[in-house]
Amino acid sequence: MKLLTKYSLVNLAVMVVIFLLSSLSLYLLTQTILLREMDSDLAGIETRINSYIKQYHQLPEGNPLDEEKIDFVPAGNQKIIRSSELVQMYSDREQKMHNYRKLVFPLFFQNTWYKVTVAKPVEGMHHLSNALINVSLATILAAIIISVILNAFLIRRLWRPFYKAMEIMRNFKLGRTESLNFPRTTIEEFSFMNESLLLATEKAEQDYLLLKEFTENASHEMQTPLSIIRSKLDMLIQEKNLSQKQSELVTEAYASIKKLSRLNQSLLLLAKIENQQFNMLQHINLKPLVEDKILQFNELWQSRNIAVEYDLEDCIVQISPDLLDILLNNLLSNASNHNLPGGRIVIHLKQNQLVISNTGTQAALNEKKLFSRFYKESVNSNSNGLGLSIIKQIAKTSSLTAAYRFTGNMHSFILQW
Amino acid sequence: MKLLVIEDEIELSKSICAYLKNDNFICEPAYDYNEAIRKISTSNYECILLDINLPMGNGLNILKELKGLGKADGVLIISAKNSLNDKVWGLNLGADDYLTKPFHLPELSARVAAIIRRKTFDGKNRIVTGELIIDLQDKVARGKEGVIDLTRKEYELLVYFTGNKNKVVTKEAIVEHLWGDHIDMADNYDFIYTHIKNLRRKLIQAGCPDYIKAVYGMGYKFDTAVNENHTIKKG
Repeated sequence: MKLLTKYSLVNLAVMVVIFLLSSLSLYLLTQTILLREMDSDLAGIETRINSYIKQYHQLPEGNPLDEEKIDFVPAGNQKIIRSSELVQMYSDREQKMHNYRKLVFPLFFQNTWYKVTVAKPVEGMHHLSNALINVSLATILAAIIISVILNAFLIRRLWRPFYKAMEIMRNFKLGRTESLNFPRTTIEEFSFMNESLLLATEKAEQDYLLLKEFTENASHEMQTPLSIIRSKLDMLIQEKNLSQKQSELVTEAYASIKKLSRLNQSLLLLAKIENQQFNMLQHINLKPLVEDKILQFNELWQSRNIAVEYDLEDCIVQISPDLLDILLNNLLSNASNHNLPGGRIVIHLKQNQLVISNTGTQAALNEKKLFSRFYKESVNSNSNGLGLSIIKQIAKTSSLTAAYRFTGNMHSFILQW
Repeated sequence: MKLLVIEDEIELSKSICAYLKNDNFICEPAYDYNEAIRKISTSNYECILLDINLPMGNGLNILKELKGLGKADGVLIISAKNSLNDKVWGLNLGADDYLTKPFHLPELSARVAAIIRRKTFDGKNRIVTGELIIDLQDKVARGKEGVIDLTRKEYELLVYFTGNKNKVVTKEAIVEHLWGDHIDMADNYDFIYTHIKNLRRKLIQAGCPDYIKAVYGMGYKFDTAVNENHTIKKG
């Protein structure tokens, strides 16, 4: 639920309650005031009756045009107490029962106590309460409509900088050098938020750069000791009279140094691609390059009895030539190294896609993890788990897509432009 | 013939010198920029191995200095920085070749040999080893019995071996030389066995001694110390 919707709902509920309470109290208050007014009217009538009697020495006649009903009943021995109350009485004028305010008071006239009843209709109160309820309902409705309209226009407009900032954050990617450009806003909270976001992203960017530099520097620093170890091994095998055991040990050390160098080179390469060090793009026709590569790999494939089929069309791409070379090497090495003896490799080059398929393990590989760094299908694999992430990284910087598919027992890697 | 090894890592410098020096070569090390400048201005070298990152200065400046002195020494840049710019600058400044660390010593040796041949023989060069003559311009090898019919890879392999005479060369180093560094062969080098076998057979057929020796599981050795007994035995 949107903050806005939630706020509006609470706001509306509170408003409804306040309006109901206020109309109720208004109603009660008005009623009290009206009754008091009416009581003072009735008291006025009492005074007029008293002065009438004093002046004319007779009981006044009721005027049929008057709303008030006035009765004089001799009280006899009954003791009359002055009182006022609300009663239902028959209205001659409206021919139905009606609410009346009734005042009863004692009157002493010609040595007799009379019980005087003065009643006045209170129909106005009914109309008033109706009017009050209608007015408050209308006000609540108006408040709801106005708040909906406000939400739709004004508040949405007020929140616009927030959504804009969120949009910018969503598109934010580490490693893009341009700094974020938040829209200027006069609202304090939003400019505070933008400031904090800017600080956080700049910090992240700095850390990321440091990390990238670290990878590159670390790989560089490793080159020299690796060179030394390799050169010492090269010298060691020149020694005469090495025993077979010693030769085996050296060979094993050699193989590991080889792996370490390759791992180091791959990391360095990844760092360099990420650091955009291959930015000399050229338009290149893939067809002759792929043909060349097939020739280069042919010997390797023959030695493993891997059959190669290919179908190549002209395909012009814009890419750094160095990266393209690495890309093809990695794809073809991959198709060879994970193949079975006596397996197949199928290469299809079309106008906008290159598909390299190979036989291999029977099951599909995990597509999600496949391109991530140091992912290996088997623990004993000879590969360092970086080949495919290099392919992915090259694809990313060269704006092409790299995908994996498993169909008909063939593992396919698809590059699309 | 003198070689200058400008490399600040003493251990690496020692290995390079130990590998390259033989009856024909004397190796001199220089461990920093100033020492290198002093040496290039006082002596001439057949080939200079130049590391770019040096204490007290950049190797590329040594190259400029060298060209400024009008010297024609061959220069092979060895750098840990596999950066394209360094390579392009280095070659533009007149270096003859560029090798990235970590490298195989046999690769270094083969490249140094190639540079020296180019400098010394003005391109009309030949390699003569016992019965074997390689004409580098025409890319043809001859034995006692005439031209040896070699494939491109076999020819390259032979030239590589002659740059590493009497040295044990690993299969990895051979594969890297012939197929380049980027192809990941997944440690399967069996297929070079075919090339070695064919080359050996062709050399023997052409009347050369059996120069190529397998060394346990490690690699091969182009052994010119092989006496003619072998051919005599065969004959």
